[in-house]
Amino acid sequence: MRYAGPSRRRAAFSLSALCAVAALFSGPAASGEPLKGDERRAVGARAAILELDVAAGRGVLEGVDPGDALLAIERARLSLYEGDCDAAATVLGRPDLQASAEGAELGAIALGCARGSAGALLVRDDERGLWIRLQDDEDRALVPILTDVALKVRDTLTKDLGVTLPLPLRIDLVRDHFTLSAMTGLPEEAARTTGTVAVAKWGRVIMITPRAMEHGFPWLDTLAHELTHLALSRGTRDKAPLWLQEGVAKREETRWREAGPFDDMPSPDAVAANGIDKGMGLPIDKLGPSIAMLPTPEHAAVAFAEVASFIRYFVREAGDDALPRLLVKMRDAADPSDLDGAIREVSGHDFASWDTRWRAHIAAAPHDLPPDLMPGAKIPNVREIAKRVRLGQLLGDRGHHKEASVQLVRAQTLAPTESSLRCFAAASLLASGDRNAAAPLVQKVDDIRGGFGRWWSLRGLLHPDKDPEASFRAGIALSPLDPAVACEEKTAPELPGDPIRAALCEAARRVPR
Amino acid sequence: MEHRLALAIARLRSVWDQEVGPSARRALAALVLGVLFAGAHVARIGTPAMRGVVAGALLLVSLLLIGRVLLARRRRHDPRHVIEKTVGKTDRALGAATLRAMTLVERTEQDTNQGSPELAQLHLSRLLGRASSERIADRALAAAKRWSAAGIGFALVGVIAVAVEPFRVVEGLDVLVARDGEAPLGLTWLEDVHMVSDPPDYLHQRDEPLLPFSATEQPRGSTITVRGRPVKTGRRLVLSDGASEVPFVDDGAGGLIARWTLGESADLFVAARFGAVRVRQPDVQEVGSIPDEPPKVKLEGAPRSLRILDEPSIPIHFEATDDHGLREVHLVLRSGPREERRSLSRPQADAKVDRGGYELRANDSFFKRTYLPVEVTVQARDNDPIAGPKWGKSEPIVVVLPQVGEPEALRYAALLRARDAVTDLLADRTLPVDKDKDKSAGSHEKREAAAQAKAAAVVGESLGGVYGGLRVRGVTAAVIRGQLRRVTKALEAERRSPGAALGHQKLLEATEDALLAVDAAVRARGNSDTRAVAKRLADVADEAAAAAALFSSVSERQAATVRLDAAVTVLDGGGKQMLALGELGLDLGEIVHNDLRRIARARQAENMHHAELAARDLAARLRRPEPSFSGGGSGGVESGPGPSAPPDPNDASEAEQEMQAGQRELEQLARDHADEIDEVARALEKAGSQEELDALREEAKKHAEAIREAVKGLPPPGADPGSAEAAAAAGREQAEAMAGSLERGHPQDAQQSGKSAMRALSEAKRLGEQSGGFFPEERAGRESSRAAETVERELAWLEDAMARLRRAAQERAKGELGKSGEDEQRLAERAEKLGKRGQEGEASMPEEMLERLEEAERAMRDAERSLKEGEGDRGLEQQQRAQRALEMAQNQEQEDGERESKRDGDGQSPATKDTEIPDKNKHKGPEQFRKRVMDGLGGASDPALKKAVKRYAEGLLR
Repeated sequence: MRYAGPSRRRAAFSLSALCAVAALFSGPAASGEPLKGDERRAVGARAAILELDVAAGRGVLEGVDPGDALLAIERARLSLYEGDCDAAATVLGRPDLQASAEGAELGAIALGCARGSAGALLVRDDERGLWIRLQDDEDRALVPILTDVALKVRDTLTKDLGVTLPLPLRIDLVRDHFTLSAMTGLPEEAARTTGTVAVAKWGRVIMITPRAMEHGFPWLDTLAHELTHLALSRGTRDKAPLWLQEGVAKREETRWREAGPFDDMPSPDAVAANGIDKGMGLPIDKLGPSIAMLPTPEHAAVAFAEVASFIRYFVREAGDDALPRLLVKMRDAADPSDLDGAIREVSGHDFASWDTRWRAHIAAAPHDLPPDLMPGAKIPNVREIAKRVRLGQLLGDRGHHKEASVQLVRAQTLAPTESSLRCFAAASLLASGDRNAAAPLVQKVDDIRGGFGRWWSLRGLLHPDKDPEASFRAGIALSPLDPAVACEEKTAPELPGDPIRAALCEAARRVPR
Repeated sequence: MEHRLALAIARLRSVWDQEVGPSARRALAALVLGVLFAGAHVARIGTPAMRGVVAGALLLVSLLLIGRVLLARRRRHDPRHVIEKTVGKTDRALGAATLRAMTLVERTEQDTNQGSPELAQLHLSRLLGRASSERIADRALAAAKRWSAAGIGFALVGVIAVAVEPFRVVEGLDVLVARDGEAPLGLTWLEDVHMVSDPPDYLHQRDEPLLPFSATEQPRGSTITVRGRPVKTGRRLVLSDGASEVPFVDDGAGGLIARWTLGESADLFVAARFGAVRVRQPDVQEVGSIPDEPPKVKLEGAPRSLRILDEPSIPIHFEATDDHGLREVHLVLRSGPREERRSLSRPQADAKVDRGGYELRANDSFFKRTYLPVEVTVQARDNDPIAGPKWGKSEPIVVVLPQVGEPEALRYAALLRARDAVTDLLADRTLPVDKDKDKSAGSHEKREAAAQAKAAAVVGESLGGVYGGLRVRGVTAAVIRGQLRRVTKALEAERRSPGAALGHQKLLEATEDALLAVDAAVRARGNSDTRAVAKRLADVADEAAAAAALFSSVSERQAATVRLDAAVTVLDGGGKQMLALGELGLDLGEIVHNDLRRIARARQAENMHHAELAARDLAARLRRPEPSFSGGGSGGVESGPGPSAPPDPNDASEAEQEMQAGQRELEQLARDHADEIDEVARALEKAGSQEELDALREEAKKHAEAIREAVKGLPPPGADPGSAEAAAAAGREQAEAMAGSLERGHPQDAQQSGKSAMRALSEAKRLGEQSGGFFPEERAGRESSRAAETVERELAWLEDAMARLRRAAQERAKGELGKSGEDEQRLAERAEKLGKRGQEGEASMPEEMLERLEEAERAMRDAERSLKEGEGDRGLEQQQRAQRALEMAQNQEQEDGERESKRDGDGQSPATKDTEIPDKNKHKGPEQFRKRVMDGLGGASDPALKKAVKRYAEGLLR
């Protein structure tokens, strides 16, 4: 999720001309007093910081007058980009900075970040270039996997976008929406409404730990998505518009790994087309400050489908090298209005023309979507399914596995393509000793329309002939802290053979349930 | 010088000294004495300055004398001085020649070239021989006379100084040589001494004469009175213990008196005060002070330690004793820096023993505000006004409070047991009928009934338990009881059609729905409790942050460490309890533990700023007790296809929401019905005719007169309470009040007073009959009996008149009452609908609730009929019956702290329906309350106070 916030939008203007700087920094100052200082240096420092070149930013700010308000703001920003929220909060505590809108906004975020990260566990891998701050110590078991994936994504982004993220890569793994909001400035209610799990901001990926959700989420793809945002910020000096940010991030979130069976399920073209038909689609260049701030998860899903579909179409039509070239042009653009020129220069058409062509493309594309994959679709018989599932869980928890499986199989029958229901039924049948009845429920990928962590681990267990390692890996990519998934369906005290997986399994078993 | 010459000179000196020496010595002695005696008077003033002046004068005189002696000795060996003083003073020329001759003698002795020494000595010898002894003696005599004159002068000064009052010289000299404000010589100042000890009033003891200057012991605070005759008048006498003193004053009988209030033990003595110097009388009065002991308090069972979870009710039985008297007894609860004192008793008349009891309950407000162990003591204060009241303290009972959330966790565990029982019941019914099992149980129905009874027993036990002062109440209990009733009904239906598969299927479905409903209620309870516990823990986290912030001050670091450790311990315990409160509890409990690790890490790194920030972060998080993640389905919306989303368990049953909606509806119905009652009452009141009231007042005047006439012979107030006369006086007052109300046209007040008068007069009659012929009592009883007949008659008339008024008012209000009847009908229909909805399904209500609703509906129907027929009074009565039933239905499952938690905003789940805010004109609650207060307080039985009470009530309500 890319959340720009008002300060980022102003940042784009800041680079256009020196004369705009005063307006940029003055903003709607709380006291009406514009901040004063060395504007030329401040612009230079900010450009370096937005490009994630913190070393250059530090160089610009080296030895400057500590009383200079404009440079103080940049010093605080630099601290935030370095993850030093204490330092940022200290600088921004100055009354003159607090009296300005930008200072107050940054100050609140710095304080929230300082509070949320105080006493947190910092894991540094200087050799490989990773800086991971864990709000919950128990997430340490996720670090090796995060590290591997982050570096893979970095390489992929270098190849796809021509942008190499500077090391160390900074990741904040936070415990909940509360801290995500405090560290990023994204309103908590907005994050809850759309189910935002991560934000790329302040040169860092700030992501909620998978332990916050009982069944996890695609945390590794999310990491790739957010790292893409950072690469785009660096490649364009933070001038990429939201549609480009989110569209490219959607494209890149799966390119670091082998393609999965559900990567295109449902097809973004079909979702976008159906969303537009249902009136849920927005013009892609008018998505607002963040997709996270759209009114419903359905609107967010349609918006993501739109931008993903658009970028996919653009790359297919303009060629694989179009994106790196576009980023370079954007970075060099002096004014936000030149972005259209950059697109034209790279592809021969302006944005409006691309938009028209894309809309024609998706209008012609197949609109077929199973009803349950439609934007905003509800599972049919959801009440009855919920009843059966809950009864099954309650009976299973009391050891009545046979009775539980009766309920869960009934639920699965009502929504046969729902992987979670197949998983519950299979697990219950397995617990009741009916392995033969359980196995078919987790056999074919074609039977389901979306992944579910334990579906994959049960598949790995019950179908050892079907590349169980891939199944377990897919499970961990979704639910790393589900003990059954993390432990590859082994029962305590048995552990997976791989030491990283074994550590993950132990951490998952420690999660209170 | 030749010996002969020396003898000649010595002779001359001797002639002089013989005359002058004695006179000079006498004069100097007189000078010394004069200065000493006069100085004594000055020194007696006693100030350091005066004493310094006198000492200085004496020193000066002494120095002068010594100087004179030394000078005289030196001059005695100086021949030239002798010649000058003797020969030179009588014959100047001879003196000069003699001195020159002496010079010549000296020169020739040193240098013979200057002349012959013999001749020079001869010359000097001749000159000395020419000096006249007589003339020198005459001259010396004159000098001696001058000395004598001076001596007489000095002697006169001394004599006068002594003659004024010789004793003053002694005092002065005593004062003069004092050290550290105390004169060395003791003098007698007071004779014929008498002493009395007067113990403090609160001891209620008599005065005690003391044997003067003999050791004694007296209660602290006693007044020691010393009386005596002064040996010398004009002295400022004081009574002192060496440190402080009180002055003696004239006792009006030629003596002196001083009063000493005894504090600590003291050695008292009499002294005269001269400025800064005190001259003591040698006698000493030793007085030992007997202190007032602090009260002794015994607390039954103390000292001991207990867990409030094991003993939710703590009996406090105490006995306080004091040597002189107790003033008050407190129960003192102390936890950390927090202390609360509660008055247990205030013994009257300085009781020396006080006993009593109190019961501390687990839900005591003090326990709710603290998390640390509570020390419970009983403390008693005595009545010592001298040293100040002293508190005696019992041994403590230390109450170990449950961890934050522990009672909730226990309750939740009990609810889980209930849910498990229903789950097991469902498991039993889910699989196809097992004929073998049925056979062994007698029949399928019997086995079903036995299984259900077993589950119901577990559920009943869980619902009936008390968990650290908490019970299962409110919506949770209502849902569970309602669902049990539903399953029981389904079981009965199956029993009615034995062997029918449909019956078992329906029972199975009912059991499934019941389990889901119970589950929903249990989870909602868990979430609600988690939120409440989280908010309490947030305060503790704030305390931890505040303690961490204090580490910057070195002086406060030790106290801060204790505070921080305590807060962390409480957070740790509370976090563990949260883990047992269901899904939200698991989530937040894990956060608590993680954040405690953050605090610990910061502490270990001695970064207390980070420790404070982490604690503040935890506090802020706990104040938003929401799940870590919510919304957006399964998350990961922006990062690719989210995982398959399992259904939300909250979708499985809406029983909890349905029950909440039902309870809200019931509350609304009760409010609307209360308003309807007000409407009817107001309609009746409005229908009252002023003309009829005026007519009644006119008619009442005669009756008032009759009442006054009947009671005028009764005794006035002032008799002993409990006597027939006192009762008769009260009856008279009430009867007069009745008369007054009748005259003012206040029939209800008159009726009230009349009834009180009847009670008092009947009592007077009874007491009079029991007096055994004792004249005033017997007469009061007899007269009261006579007066009661009249009052009773007038009361009957009044009630009849009021009934007539009411009937007339009802007749006039018929139209409005009819409308109210229709409203009542609609309310009855609402009650009926609510009851029907609660009969089955997810909204199933408990049996008791349904019964109350039915009762309310019946009473509403009765009221409807009465009102439609214009019977306002009866309708009102039936409405009130219905209202009571509605309120009882509401209170059936009212949660102990439900209102509190609703006020805190941590109710179980948000309202699904907007709460109706009563129209400001329609809502009559405050008005009704006002009326009730006015009616209640306005009906004070004492007519003399009635107006004052009414004014007071009006003031309260204003």
